[in-house]
This record gives sequence, structure tokens and C-alpha cells, in this order.
Amino acid sequence: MQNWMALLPASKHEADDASAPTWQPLDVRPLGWWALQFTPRVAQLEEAVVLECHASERLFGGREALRGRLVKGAQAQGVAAWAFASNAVAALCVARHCLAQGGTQADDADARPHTRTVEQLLNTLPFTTLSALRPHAGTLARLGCRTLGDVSALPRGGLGRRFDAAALRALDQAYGRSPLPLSWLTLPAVFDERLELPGRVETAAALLHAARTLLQALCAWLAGQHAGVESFTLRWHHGLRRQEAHAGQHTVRLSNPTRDLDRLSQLLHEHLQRLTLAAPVEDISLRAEQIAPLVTHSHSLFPEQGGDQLTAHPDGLLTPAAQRAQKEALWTLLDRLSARLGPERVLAGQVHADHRLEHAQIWQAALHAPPAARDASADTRAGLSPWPQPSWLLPQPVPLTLLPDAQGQHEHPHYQGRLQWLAGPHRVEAGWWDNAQPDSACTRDYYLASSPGAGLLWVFRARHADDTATPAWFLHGLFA
Amino acid sequence: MSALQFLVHADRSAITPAALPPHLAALVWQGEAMGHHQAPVVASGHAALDAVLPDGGWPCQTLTEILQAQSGLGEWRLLAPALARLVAQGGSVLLVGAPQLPYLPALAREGVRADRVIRIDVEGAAERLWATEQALKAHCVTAVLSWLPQARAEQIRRLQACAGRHPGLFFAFRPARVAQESSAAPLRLHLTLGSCPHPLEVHVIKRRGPLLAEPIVLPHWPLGVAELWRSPASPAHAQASPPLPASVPRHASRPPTPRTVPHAELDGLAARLEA
Repeated sequence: MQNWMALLPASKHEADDASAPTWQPLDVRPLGWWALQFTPRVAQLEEAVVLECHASERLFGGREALRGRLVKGAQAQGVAAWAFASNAVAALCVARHCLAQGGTQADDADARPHTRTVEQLLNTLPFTTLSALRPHAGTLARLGCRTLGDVSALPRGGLGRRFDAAALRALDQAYGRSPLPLSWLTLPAVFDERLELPGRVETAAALLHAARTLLQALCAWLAGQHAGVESFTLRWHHGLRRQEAHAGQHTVRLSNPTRDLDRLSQLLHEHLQRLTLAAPVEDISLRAEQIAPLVTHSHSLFPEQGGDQLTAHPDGLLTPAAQRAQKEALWTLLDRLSARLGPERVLAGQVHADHRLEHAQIWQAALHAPPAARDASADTRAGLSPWPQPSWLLPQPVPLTLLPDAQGQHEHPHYQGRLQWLAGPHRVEAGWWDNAQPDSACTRDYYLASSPGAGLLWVFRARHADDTATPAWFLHGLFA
Repeated sequence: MSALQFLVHADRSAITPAALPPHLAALVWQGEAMGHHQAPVVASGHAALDAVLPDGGWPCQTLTEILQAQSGLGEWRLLAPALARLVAQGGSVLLVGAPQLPYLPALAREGVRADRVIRIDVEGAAERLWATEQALKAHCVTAVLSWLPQARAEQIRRLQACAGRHPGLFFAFRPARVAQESSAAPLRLHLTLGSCPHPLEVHVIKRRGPLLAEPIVLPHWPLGVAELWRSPASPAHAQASPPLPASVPRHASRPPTPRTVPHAELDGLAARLEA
């Protein structure tokens, strides 16, 4: 038996009643894109989206499980009413009836879907739920008809002569007596949607509200693609003349692909706060620049503790689901910090095999660091030199002051007190082959020194210092 | 509360909490009792320190203040064992406004993996506070290490409130001069170094528990340095060790010629300490 679902998006009138100013949704296409993740048989029928998901039931774990997912997702998509039935027109009629009743849940069809045939279901509905009968509402009402059952009980020949053929065909289609031709919705290859603003928007931060509508459509499109977005561009146009000079754009990059609407809109909010608009904006458009397939994680065999919400405990990392959630939260944080501070100031480091201290680590923007490097689980403990290594490294070696001894014969390096040698020398002579960088060659003797004020220090003496003016002793690291 | 009245009127020497029935003993507050923290703790890795910390470790979901006269006085030595434990569980370490470059190979050797360290460079006090607050509000299991040299008491209070839902550790490094000021942090430590070879000295300024007058001395050194202390010090060995640079001749234009032993062993230290 076919399993049709009809989704009625929230209508414009309803949105007007709400106190918060909401933008009118693009159209029903985003809803259809979202539904495409469940089944390829999605179509637009009048104001609604209908989908047939009989073939996908096994993939999603049975009819009830799939219905549960559809209903849960549809609520998140802001659907006003939905209904299930054995054909598309019947489902649409039930959904319209539910919307008219003010409820979102299709009780009749949902709670007892198998106990009632489509005929029993439709017979009780008002005939106005079938849009083809609406032009004849007055005549039918005067005939004493209230429900679809009343209309279908009328003599068929007379019905066909009295009204147009469309009404009879629609009635047949609703009762499943004749097929309904539908053109299936296809997912556009590129997401580039435009939204005209109802009024002029002066500040960049105020664009967010409108952009959220586009982001919602983007997330629906991404759901259909089974993908996440890595970077997207928001464009805006000033005035009516859509020329390059009268437009602006901003590209947002993410550290990992996602289709989480809240995360995207938070990030865009952070970016928009830093922008100033040259002139009032009249319309905006959003384009997905880079998308990447989103890995769907299989559910574990056993119920996981704390899978959905972050636990306030370090041991909450023990389950894979919690680790994924943690990773997602960390990426969201890095995106946010990079958006405000600039990506070059949120840095992730990598260890590089080199004897020169300043070349033994590479810091790069955490946003652009390859995920493979970040996820590398190789233990970097092995293969390191057995020598002491300072935990703080000075960005530039600091020259040490040389103060004469009591006898005045010798000079001794000082750093917050007279240095006492504990160990050394540890000779580093490397980098002479690297001609590209002038300062890369390094011939140094490192010593572990103790300073009365600064603790354990890692100081070096530059060997082969040919210039007499340059001091020979430097502080390079601290054993904090 | 009849039990307490009974305690007041009774002969004090006769009644000890141990002598009371357990349900009454639980009601008696004792001056030396340690307070309890609702949140989990991460063992600090220093047994002597764990013994004086409430619940025996660094508390999660709260602000821990570490006061230092200047940076570089043993903060990694103090925190590295706990950070390594958190990283081993899958956590990350976020450094907000670190005073120097953290040297990742050294941290990796202590168990704080390089790919789990994220450094956030900030400019100005406002950015420090903002970045710290965002890190706390992200609800990631991370250790947030934040250097806040200019933070005021109300800002610390706000961060302490933010830390309430932060599942990991949060350390704020502040200058030693704020030791006398009040702070919302439930745990405050003043970290100093002893004389050479510079063991850690932890002064517990404030904790949920009785005052601690004596500092905790932690003889803990970074790996690589610790081995030098442990190596056996024999006089013959010490004599064979290459000479350490005592002092440079005055106005020496260049260092003396390289020694014949280019890679001398770092074993002269033990002998020096013995001497």
C-alpha cells in the first residue's frame, strides 16, 4: 500500500498574526528539498508538498519509525499541518482539514491509519478541502452537501454534466479511482537563492533575520544533498540598480561541514556584526560555495548515555556520541572565535621534527588546519630528543646582560640574578642547508641554567658570532 | 535541634564526634572539615596537592585562580599531569592570551598532545575576557587556561558564573599582587618557586576548607630535567664531566673554540647539586 504524506507549510496569514516580524518564506521548495532526503518521490501539489515514502520504509527502520522521523523533522521545518493517507490528494485533504481545525496533528489518519479505508476517511471531511470543488461550493451547499461523502454519493452522470470535468476527476483522484500525474521535484545542483526584503535594511546586524530564512532553505537543501556546507557567501544589493558597485558580499568559512541552522546563523551573526553596509539593502542572496558530504554516524547497538546533550563531566567523553558532540561544540567555538578575532589569531600547533627550537613547531590557523592533522592520534611522545625541553618558548631570543664578577676579571650572564649553570652544553648545529631563509642557520650551545628570580632557564651561547657587537648569550625558553 | 543543645550543655571532653551515633555525628560541623564540591574533580597528579584540595583534585565547573609574580614560574609543571589526563580522555587545552609561545614538543612529552592545544592570541583586556567567556560557554570538555593580568573582581565573578556549566577545568592566571583582594574563585593558589633546583611551592590562599599556613612543596620537574636529578652522582663521574662555562673572559669578542666533545652529557648537574 502506498504511503503518502502531505505537508502544509505555515501560511502567510498566520505569520502576519504573530507579534514578531517574520519574513514570508521563499516558497514550498525548501520543504520539498528537505523531504528529498527521505524519498525521491517528492512533488508540489497546489500549496503543499506531497511525498511517497513507501519504498524508503525499510531503510529508515519501518513505517512507524519513518513516520516519526518525518513528523519530527516537519515540525522543525515549521510545517503547519501534515497528514498521511494512501494517495496524495486524500492526504492533502486531510491536512487541510487539520489546518482548518487549528490543530497540526492529523488525528484521524495518524492514530488509526489502518483501521479506516481512504473512503471512510474522506467521507467525513468537508468538501471544501478538495480545491476543485471550491468554485461550486454554493451550488453544492444548496444541494445539501456538507462532506465529501455527500458529494461522491451524488449521481455521477449528473455531477459530470452539472459541473466541469475537473471536479469529477479530482474526486476520482482523491478516492484513488484514477491516477494523479505529478512532476517530481529535483534538487538543484547549486544553491543560490535570492530574497527580496520587505523594507530597506540599514544595518548589517539586521540582515540576519532575513538571512536566517535563506539559511533555513540552505539547510533544507543540504539535507536533501546529504551534505554539509563548508563555506557560503551572502550577497546584498543596494537599491534597484543591481550593479557590481552597488552590491556587497561576504564569505563565511567553517572549520568543518555542517547543516546545523543554529550554528550557521550564530556564525553569520558574528560575521555581520563586524560589517558595515555602504547603503540600505533591498535584497539579499545566499550561495553555497563549498559543500562536503556529511558523515552520518550509525547509532550504537546499545543505548548511549548522554548522546544528545553534553554532560557536565569529563567522563562524558567516554561514549563515541558524546565525543562527536564535543568535537562539534569545539568546532563551533573555534568558528566563533575566528569570526571575531580573525582566523590568524586562533591557532593550532603541529610538532615538526627539527632540532632548532623555533622550527620544531608550526602554528597555523585552526580553521584552515587540515582535519587530518587535528585528528592525528599518533603519539608524538616517541622520537623526541632526550634533552630537556622548555615549556615556554620566547618568540625572539632575549640577549642576556653580562655583569662583571666580584674580581672584575670575568663577565657572567645575568637574568633576574646571576645564572647558575646546571647542565650543558647541548649543541645544536642545523639549518645551514637552508638558503631560502637567512636566519635559519643555527650554531648554538644550549645550557640549563638556574636564575634566582626566574627559575629554570634554557639559554644558549651563539657560536661563531663574527660580529663583536652582538651579545653572545641569549635566553630562549623557560622551564615553567 | 536537641542534639546540638545537648552538645553545648554536656561536658565537652566527654563527647567527641566519634562517640556520637552516626546520624548525629553527621550533623556536627567540625572546623577542620573540608568542603565539598558538587562537580567532579580531575586529580592534579601531585599527591601532596591532592591531599589539601577539597575532594582531592582540580575542581571542574569552577574557576581556579593561580597567582604568580610573573609567568614562567612552574605553571606547566603544576598543571601538566591533570591536563594530560584530560587530553587522554579526549579533551582539549585552550590557551587564551598566553604570555609566551607554548613549546609543543615539551608539552607532548608530558602527555599534552600537540594536536589538542589551541592557542588564542588576544589583544587587550576586553578580548581576553570575551574569548575566555566564549570558551566557557561552549560547554566543551576542555581545559581553559586564561591569562588575565588586568581582570577586576566583578569580571572574575562573571567568569566564575560562566564556569558553572563548563564541564572541564578553568584556570585563570593573575598577578600575585591581587592576593589580598577578594575574589569569587573558590580555590586560589599562589605559585612560587623554591631556591635552586626550584621545586614548586604552592600556597593555598583560599579553599573550601580550613586555612593552610604552610606552602605545599612539590618536587616535580619536567621530563628530561627530572632525569638529571635522578641520575646517580659519583665523584668520578663528576670529574669526567665536561667543564661547564664558569665565566667568560671579560670583553671576549667570541666564545672559546669548540670543545672536542661536541655532545656532552648533561650529567654534571647531579654532581653540582651534591657539591
